[in-house]
Amino acid sequence: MPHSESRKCEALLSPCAGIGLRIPHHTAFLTAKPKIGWVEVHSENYFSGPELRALEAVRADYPVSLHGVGLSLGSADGVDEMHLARVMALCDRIQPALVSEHLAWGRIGATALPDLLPLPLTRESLDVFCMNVDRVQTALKRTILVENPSTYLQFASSSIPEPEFLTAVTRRTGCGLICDINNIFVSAHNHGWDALDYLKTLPAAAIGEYHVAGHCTATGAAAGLLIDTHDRPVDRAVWALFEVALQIIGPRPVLIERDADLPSLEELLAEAVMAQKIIDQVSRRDANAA
Amino acid sequence: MLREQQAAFVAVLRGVSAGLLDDAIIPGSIAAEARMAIYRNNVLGNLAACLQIAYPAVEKLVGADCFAGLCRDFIQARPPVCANLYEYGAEFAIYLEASKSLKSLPYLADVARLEWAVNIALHAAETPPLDPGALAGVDVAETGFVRHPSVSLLILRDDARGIWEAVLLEDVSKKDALLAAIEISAAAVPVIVSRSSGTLEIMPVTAPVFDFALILLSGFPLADALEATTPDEAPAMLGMFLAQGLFAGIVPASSQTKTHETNKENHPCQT
Repeated sequence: MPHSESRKCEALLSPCAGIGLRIPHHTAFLTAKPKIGWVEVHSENYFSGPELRALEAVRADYPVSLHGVGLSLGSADGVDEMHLARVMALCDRIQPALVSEHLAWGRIGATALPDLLPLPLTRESLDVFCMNVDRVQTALKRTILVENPSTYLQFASSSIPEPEFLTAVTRRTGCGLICDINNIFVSAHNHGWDALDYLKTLPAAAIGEYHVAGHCTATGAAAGLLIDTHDRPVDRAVWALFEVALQIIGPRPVLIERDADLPSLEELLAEAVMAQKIIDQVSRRDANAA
Repeated sequence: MLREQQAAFVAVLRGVSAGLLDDAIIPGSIAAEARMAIYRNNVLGNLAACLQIAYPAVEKLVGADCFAGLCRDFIQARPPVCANLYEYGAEFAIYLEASKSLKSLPYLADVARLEWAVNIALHAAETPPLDPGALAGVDVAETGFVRHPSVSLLILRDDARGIWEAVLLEDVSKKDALLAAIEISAAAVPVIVSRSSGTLEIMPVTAPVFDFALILLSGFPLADALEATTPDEAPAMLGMFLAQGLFAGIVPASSQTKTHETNKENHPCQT
């Protein structure tokens, strides 16, 4: 399918830092109108009501990226058409710079669980996932980005390593990727993967955005696992991996994600400044080396 | 194969089945069940947070620990059917009503019904209300009215609204004084909840007004509603509904879908 229109949209977002805008920050954000390159929101929070009006006000001054958590692209039952219709309506209203979802699922039969559940990485899953990505891209008339997830288990039936699975999805559907650095760090720790190999395997040209966020260490029976909580500042080790990713993949827009224990808007913006500094440092170093 | 795997995964996640995992999941040094528990806790936490946002007064009335237990049981019995979480929890009032341990709080289910109607109003699409000018030149008797998406019709216990308002007050002494002054009463009060002009309205109405609104908002044409009410009062009632913004539009009567319902304890995603 032709995706030249969406590629144009993606090019509108320069490789600078943005923040995940959450509802409790709406008033502060719209009042302060901070100097930030772009914002990303969870699509599902803006289907209607005053939140949608606030997002339109934000969109008047900033590029907006719509990041979905509910399309369940890995579901064997296919895409929920009612949910997709809502995402389409939101895209029409907001005209986002980017639209993204996850390598995950949450819906089967009459149950829709609000989490990014892990997918067995098999040939069948690849077919299902690509079919669902195709359906969404056809409906939205644009390409989307697919984000690598944090996972806490691996299926015995999985036969395709995650970065190779994502690469295959990009080749078959023309979609792009979000390279979530924190998720790579968390999953690599949890499953004994090599984060550097993971980054090198991803198709750099398909990556349209980075995410960075905070995580915590599990306690109790799951002690030893890392959990992607988005409830604290980005870990130093994740910043270091981000710097490595910039060297391997190159500069892209980067998002600071925080979903729980929200800090003040100023603190969030300070993390975005940190991300921008790292991008600028690596770019300068690359320029000098050249 | 994938479909069966995903159905089995959900069954284990919900605690409906204990099978699946030892063979299907690579345990490593951490048991499969401990890994599943992370996903289970995420799901429970996300859904409980939705209920907490929709039902703050219920939580205050029963206390945080009891509310957490109620959420766990409700989520187990009624997992969500769609990914739009603003629509999750519509049946919570029915669940509270059926709970034997809550019989000492006879008003609780109606407080929950009111909270759900408020939740619907707050998250409804920002649709402009019907402009009364749209009725000019129209055969009003044969016209059906489209319910504004923020509108709910409820029949509540007399004490429910006062308890809801009081319990959400931050000022403890004011809250205690108001709660002490509320007369516990099971008398039925019809109420219309709306937010068509941007402000939440909770309007107690008389039984005839409620019946008239119910017929119109269920999609029946004005002529049908007039049969069920006193014609002399109808123009005033219709004027009040228009002023209140209860309608989002008009359609010829023949094209309306008629569903007789009061408060919506169902929602678009329900099957």
